[in-house]
Amino acid sequence: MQKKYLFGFGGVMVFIALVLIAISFDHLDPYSFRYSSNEMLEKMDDQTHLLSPQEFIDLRTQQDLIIVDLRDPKLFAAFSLDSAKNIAAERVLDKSLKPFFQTETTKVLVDQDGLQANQIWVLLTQFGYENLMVLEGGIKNWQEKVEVTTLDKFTGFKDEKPQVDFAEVMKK
Amino acid sequence: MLKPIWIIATLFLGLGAISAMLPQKKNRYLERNAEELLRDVLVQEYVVTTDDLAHLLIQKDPSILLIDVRPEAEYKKYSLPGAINIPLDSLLSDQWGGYLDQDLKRNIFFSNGTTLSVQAWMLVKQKGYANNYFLKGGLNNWFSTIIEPKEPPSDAPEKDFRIYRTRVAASQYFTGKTDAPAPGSGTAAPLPKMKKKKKMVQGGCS
Repeated sequence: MQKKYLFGFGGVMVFIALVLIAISFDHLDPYSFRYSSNEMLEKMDDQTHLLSPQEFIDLRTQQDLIIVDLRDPKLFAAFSLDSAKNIAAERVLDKSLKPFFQTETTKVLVDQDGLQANQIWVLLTQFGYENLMVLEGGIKNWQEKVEVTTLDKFTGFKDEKPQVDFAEVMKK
Repeated sequence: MLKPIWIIATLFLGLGAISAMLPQKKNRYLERNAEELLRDVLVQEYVVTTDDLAHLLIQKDPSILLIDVRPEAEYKKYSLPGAINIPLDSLLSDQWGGYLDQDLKRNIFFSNGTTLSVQAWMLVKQKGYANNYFLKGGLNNWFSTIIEPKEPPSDAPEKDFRIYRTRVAASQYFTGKTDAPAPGSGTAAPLPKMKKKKKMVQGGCS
């Protein structure tokens, strides 16, 4: 009689535990960030994810890179870098793309002018994806300065590099 | 045979133990998740252009606060009029909380380009702070469009010339030349789309 009670009691406990676990996982946010803002700030510290066009060209000769073009398909169809994969920015969090972003191959995010690629880099890195980089200046700079004019100085494009001495210009 | 009271007591203890071991839900009072932040990135309503900023500064709009997120040395060398310096690496320290998490001023982050400023914006946006914007193109774009505007080619549409004339007036205003035409004598730059101020919940623990 006592054994019968114990088995019944055990069964009830296991059932309740399973229900609680199911409810708990159902409420977990699949889009929550892996890193807090403070942790993300530390990851931004060295800014090594930013590639000037020249650094991008060099890196491409040294290792396998996947170029992820974040622009909409129309712009992508009009012009894209060799072997680039088009994933429009609004799709980057799609569950179907998780296995792709979790691969170890370095992915270089590219957009029209570098701004949105940098934003998506922050978002995806904070979300937990690793091995992501950004092409500075985006396709616009690439087309204007790298492919058309082939001026060496523009292959060194860095968004945060002052283009003039601000203080000097204001003194003029 | 076990008494019912013992069975119930053990049941509650067991449930308590199971609940304690379950993964906790994050406290997401105002913080954004990745999906919400992506939405903010895509709508682009937090972008301030150099023309928008020139207009706001000329109007002496008291509701904006310019935040230079470059390192202190660069800020000391040159910055925009009235800007305060919060270098990116100290952005989230407690001392700046009052500037970033408020509903009185519209903060506009800027740097030389847009890289540092947009990273600062992403961080505060993720924390759920309202009223933060960033200057597209930063000081490089400020200088190439407002301080040293380039005349459009002669076959450019009239709209480009109107913008150019406004920029020349703005340039003269900011560089301090006295022979400047009245600021805003050209077509006024459009006001940036600013999000409505979010009403913060009063009271409670912080």
